Amino acid sequence: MRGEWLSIIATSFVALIFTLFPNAAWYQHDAPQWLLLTVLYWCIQEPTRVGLIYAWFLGLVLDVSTVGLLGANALLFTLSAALVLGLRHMLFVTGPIQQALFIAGLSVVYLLFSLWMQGGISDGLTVLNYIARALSNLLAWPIILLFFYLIRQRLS
Amino acid sequence: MTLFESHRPSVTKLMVLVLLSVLLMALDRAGNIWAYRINTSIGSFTDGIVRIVQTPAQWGVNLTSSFQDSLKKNQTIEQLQQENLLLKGQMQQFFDLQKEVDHLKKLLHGQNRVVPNVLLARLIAVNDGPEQQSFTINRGINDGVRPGQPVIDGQGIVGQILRSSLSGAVVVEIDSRRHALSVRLGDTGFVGILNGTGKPNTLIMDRIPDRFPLKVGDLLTTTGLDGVFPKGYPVARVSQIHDDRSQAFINIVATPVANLNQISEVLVLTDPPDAPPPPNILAEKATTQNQPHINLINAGKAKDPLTVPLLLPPGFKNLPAATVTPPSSHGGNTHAR
Repeated sequence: MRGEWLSIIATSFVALIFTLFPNAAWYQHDAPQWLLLTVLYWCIQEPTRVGLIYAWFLGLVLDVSTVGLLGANALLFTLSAALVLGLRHMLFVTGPIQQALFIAGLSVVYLLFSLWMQGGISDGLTVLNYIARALSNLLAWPIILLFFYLIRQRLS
Repeated sequence: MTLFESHRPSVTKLMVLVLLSVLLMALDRAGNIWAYRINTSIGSFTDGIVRIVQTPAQWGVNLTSSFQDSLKKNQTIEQLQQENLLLKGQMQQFFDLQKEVDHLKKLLHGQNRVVPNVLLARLIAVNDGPEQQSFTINRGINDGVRPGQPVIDGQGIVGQILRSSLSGAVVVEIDSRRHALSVRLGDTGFVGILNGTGKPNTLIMDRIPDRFPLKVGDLLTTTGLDGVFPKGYPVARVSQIHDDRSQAFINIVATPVANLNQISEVLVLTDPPDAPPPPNILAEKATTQNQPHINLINAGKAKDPLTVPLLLPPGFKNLPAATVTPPSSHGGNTHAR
């Protein structure tokens, strides 16, 4: 019980560090959205503990730390978590590849909405550039599945 | 395992959270104090994380520099000493000029120019987005950093403080899409608004009347009219001129003189000399009393409003000196949000 919470909070914290830390421009633009992936993973695995409120709060933390519009990521985190929780029956039993594809698709929608909210759509190339981040989400999902599985094994 | 239990999210909770987010967005756009408080409090936490994580990386940099070739180091020191001597030599001319300017300003009943306080800050994180280019520095509220203070580097204006928390502050760069500042165009005397574009190192200024002689390479300097940046600092150089003769206006593209691509250390002007006092009645009174021509009018009224001429020679001595000094102000309105 305590181990579950510990692993949830520890992984969220590490995800936040990975989001904030490396300063290189390419990393900031194209790195996987670690915090979003972490929240969605825990929504699938531990829906009794991680729900909408946790997702909303982490979204708010992301907003503040990236100095964006306050509440924008919080809204999108909440909606993504709601969608994943709603489709959890389906997602829980599918294989990792299908899961990764679903998450990447979801993050495309996420990124489009986020770009729209920031009003940054100027031309098609910019949008494609921005959406390319979903590809790194796709690649990052299996890594997250593996590492979080190991962490859960160790802590609980 | 909790496979067959239903964990569908409750619609009420979802609605409440969605409404809360939308409310927060609205408050943030409106610049509400609560949005500011949330930003500062959670910002203290996240900036703290960045700062702690950054520390070992800084150790790494220090370690590599300690392994550097000592010959190379000595060369660098020698070079810096020469540069320092050169700068000191150039400064000596300015001491004299400064004295002269102060004297002239005193004769014109103006304020003496205050040398701004500067604070050296190190960059600890970069957070770029489509909306704004910004970065985090390792100085915060405790060092006197407040939102709206100008940030410069060795060459010119870098940006201004957007948010200040207990453990750091966020600086928005001048090339951000939502940033604008007031500049004077070279020697022409034309004053206009220089906008960021969101593209790195690109600033634009539109609708300059084409009677002003312009050329590529002209320097744009701050005017002090925007109440954020002090007067006379270099901002950018004209890099392209779009001259459409049918329009009678010129649009220009400018490149910042500050090296925005490779920022590692910046200076924060913690007490900008030209910033306006906070908007309250007392402060307004103070500024009007400081204007010499108002003093002239008041002086005339006190004695005999009809006989005293309003235009006096500059050396006229019997005027009451301005007694109220404007309170030192922090902040000012940011143009970034």
